[in-house]
Amino acid sequence: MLVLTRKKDESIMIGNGVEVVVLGIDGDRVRIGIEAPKDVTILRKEVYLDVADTNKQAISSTIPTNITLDKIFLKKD
Amino acid sequence: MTIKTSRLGTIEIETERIIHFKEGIPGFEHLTKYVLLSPPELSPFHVLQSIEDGDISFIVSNPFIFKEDYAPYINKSVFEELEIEEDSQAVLFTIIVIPDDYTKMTANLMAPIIINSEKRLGKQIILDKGDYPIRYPIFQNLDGKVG
Repeated sequence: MLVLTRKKDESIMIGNGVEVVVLGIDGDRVRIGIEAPKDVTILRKEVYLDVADTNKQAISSTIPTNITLDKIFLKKD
Repeated sequence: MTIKTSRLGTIEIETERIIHFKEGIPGFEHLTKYVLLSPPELSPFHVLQSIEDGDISFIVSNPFIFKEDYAPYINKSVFEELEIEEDSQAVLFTIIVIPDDYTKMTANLMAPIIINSEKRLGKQIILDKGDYPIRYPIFQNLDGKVG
């Protein structure tokens, strides 16, 4: 892993279109600003991990067999 | 080709039906080839089955059936990556998690699966805009609405 030291208001460039700025530091919290093209997906890593966990949970899903499936999502009155 | 699956037994797959997920699916990044199976008796569910690991499959469904106003914002780069040129090539699914009590099933509306049905390219995208939950409780949201 590349490790860089930055101060408040300093930034790093990633590739041509992405800039990451350290906006402020408060104890163990760092505020980061990201300037990136609109088509770049930016995620908190825990969101990706939550999706991965949900996918791992999803493989053990079983489709219920004791009900009529084709009407399962019909709204109830 | 023939594959053994834990969900649907031994099945016959025509290789031209294989859908390529270039980056895999989060949690299963090593598996890149899937096939979409739609046995009529499982409708409105479909099975997204890995052809590299018969034990790995996902129950998916068309999200618009139970969430009519679902409107995920999908980056243009996704359409480019999946070579989608017209809307008609794109099919959207959501992965369903079904616990023992099926009435508590949830749909992952934050991370829909988009498939180019002509080019056979797929991707699970994670929406970074909008406010769709990873665990959307389907039945809780059907209840109480006027049918």
